[in-house]
Amino acid sequence: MTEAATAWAPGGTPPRRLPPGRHGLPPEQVRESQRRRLTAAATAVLAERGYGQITVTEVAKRAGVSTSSFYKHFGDLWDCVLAAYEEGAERLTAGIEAACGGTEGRDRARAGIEAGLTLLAPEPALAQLLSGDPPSQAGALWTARRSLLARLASMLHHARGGQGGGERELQLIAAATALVSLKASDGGGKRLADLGQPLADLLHAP
Amino acid sequence: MHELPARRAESAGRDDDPTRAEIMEAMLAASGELGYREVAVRQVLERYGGHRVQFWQHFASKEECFAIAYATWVDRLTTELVTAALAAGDWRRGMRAALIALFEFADERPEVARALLIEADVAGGGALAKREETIERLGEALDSAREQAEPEERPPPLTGVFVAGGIAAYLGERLAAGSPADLWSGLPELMRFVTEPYFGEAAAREELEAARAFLADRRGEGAAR
Repeated sequence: MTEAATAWAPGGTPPRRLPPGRHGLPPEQVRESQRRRLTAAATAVLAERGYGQITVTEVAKRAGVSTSSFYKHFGDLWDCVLAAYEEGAERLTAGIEAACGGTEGRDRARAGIEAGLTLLAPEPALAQLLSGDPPSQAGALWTARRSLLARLASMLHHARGGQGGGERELQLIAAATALVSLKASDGGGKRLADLGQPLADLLHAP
Repeated sequence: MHELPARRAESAGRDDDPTRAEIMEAMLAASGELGYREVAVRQVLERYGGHRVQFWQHFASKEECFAIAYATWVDRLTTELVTAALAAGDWRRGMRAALIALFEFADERPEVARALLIEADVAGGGALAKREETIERLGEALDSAREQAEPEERPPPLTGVFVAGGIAAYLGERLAAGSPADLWSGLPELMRFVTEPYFGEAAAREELEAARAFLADRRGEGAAR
């Protein structure tokens, strides 16, 4: 299986290329499969080549679709990367929220951190996408990034007792994101998995 | 690997060649303004006003030029910050001095700061490796404060890298938002963020208030001018 096939998978199901020829699948299912493969491919190509080198041609090739099919799904490359980012961010925050249910205080912070790292460790490409800096000119990606950090900061604010306006938690989450980016690009999943205890100490300490 | 042209071989690694230095500065300024991905060598040439052949005498590619320019400027900036911190006397004063120097740099040269703080991730390769090395280096410098704490009160491992990354993340976010005027507003919270893991909440609060007072003075001086 290629790295692209494992890089992003809603619900844990790796996106696979459909069999060639007549497969009898409804058009909506074909479109959805293509879209998922394209966002997975964008995540994988970004991890390998970075924002400076990624191209529509390479993403489409990795996804096993034509470039004309790419443009049926996305207006341009950045629409595709944004979709990959937003899908990944949604998975991350949903996983953390689910893990935090029924817990409070330090236990809540620890449960959220463990859930986030458990999701990202086997998917270092997704970790790099969510934690790395987008190009300064990619305004929509920065907006999506701010939205993700604000959601994570809000969760941390709750776990830390909800005092103050949340600025401290936003700064802490930004720092944690930078640390994840460093470890994700410097050794992948193993380095991320090792961050659980240090991050629990760094994020919860008042 | 092909051999360097004679002139490029001579100037490789030299920062004192004015043409080479101008090209590197133009590369960073163009990358910060337009985005590294969008920058072509032509736009770098337009900025520094020299001849095309000069670029190729000094650099093999846009990628090489950015990576060398990045390393040169990051090393220079890091040295300035560490020097400012050491001259201040103790860790907390040093941190104030270094952060203010960093904010002044970002305020005065936002396009170069954007290249240093954001576009290295986009360029990847040597620039990204240098960025990571620099965060580790600054993290070690910050962690010198651990020696002043009792062993049982020392902050957790990775605190220095966490704090250094947090500073870079704050500035990167503000610079990406394109609002240098808004840059300074986050200084008090950042001072608290930096101080708290090493010296506790009370000291962090003092630094936050000191930064607020500094900003009030700064605004007053700006209004008086």
